[in-house]
Amino acid sequence: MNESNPMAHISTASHLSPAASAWREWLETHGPKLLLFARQQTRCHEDAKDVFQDALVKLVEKVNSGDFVGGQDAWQSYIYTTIRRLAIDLSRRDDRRKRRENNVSADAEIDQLDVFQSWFDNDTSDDETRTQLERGLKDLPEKFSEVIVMKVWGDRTFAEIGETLGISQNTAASRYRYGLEALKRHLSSARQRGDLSI
Amino acid sequence: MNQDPASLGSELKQLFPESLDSSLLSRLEAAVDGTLTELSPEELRFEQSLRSFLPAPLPEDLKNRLATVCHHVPFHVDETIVLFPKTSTNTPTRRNLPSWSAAAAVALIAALTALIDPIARHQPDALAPQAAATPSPATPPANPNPYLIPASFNRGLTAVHDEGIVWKSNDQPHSLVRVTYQDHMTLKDQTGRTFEVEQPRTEYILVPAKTD
Repeated sequence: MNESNPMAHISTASHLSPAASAWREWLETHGPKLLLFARQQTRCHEDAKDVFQDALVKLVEKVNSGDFVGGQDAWQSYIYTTIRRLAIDLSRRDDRRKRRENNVSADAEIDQLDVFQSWFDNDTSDDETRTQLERGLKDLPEKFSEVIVMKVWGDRTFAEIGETLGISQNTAASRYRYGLEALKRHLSSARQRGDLSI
Repeated sequence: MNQDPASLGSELKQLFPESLDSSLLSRLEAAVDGTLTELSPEELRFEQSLRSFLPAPLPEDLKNRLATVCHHVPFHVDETIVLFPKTSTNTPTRRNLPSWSAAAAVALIAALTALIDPIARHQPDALAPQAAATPSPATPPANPNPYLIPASFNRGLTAVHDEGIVWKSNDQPHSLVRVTYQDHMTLKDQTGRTFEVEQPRTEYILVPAKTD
């Protein structure tokens, strides 16, 4: 609705309290990379949105109750860790459900829907490159891709990544190297196959 | 293979673990040196090319959902500055001036009035005279009572407390400062007797604050 009427959006924003405006700005700045991480951690776009929202709710409850240790700088680390934990919980629940229902058709439906939800901004790259990069990240072992997503697009240090994943920063760096190398190979072979024009 | 345990053992001893490949050796050396977390120029170049792909922006519906989640939560800019939601703008004032406090203030004023008026009008000997007060440089408040004349007035500052940041209607942040006084007044009647009166008082002051 706001997209079709920019003035309506501006009018709404001007009535926000300073805190609400600051939160919205924070979400617009950091939300895309956190959602990307949630996408990498979950099976589909809808799950990613739910997990991200739940992680934010947990942060907000902690901040509101005064239990949160650290300032704004620590919010992202907390959300990364919480997204990962919630995604693992969700994955376990889904596995149990799938075993119970053997619901293959639902998975296929989710895959179809996800085709329209790109991980990356449409305006910053051409479709084929973006698609290949996304495919490459999805094909990587998760322990490599999660480090790459956090390091490249989340601007996290190896120490911060290690803390989020419960590994040493050296292990995080090693996984990052392996992952970069594998991703580079994927993009090179796509280029050789003619799937990439650059 | 020979089934004799003794000869089997000696045969196994002839086998050696595979030597470490060069990449693992380099990795171990880098870990020992503390340089494992440093990226090569080639790795940095590839990393930079990946960064040119921006994550997709938040979908509008999700952005609104998340904004709703945070709507009533104060935003911590840093350790000292906190942005409050509009709904809680007046909260500190309300919190520090509860109804019982206002009632107590009214009761105190009434008690003072009841104390001073009879003395002045009908019972000048109701209270025992106090020690003569020394003149105070502070300006005494005006007293319409012709029998009791203010001899001195001392505004005793007892406490100053920062109550946090509040936002006024013009969206300007202000520090809310609570100042507590213990006012002390000396009154004198026509015969020269003095009466000491003490009154606690709290003021709230808004001081413009800087947010960044």
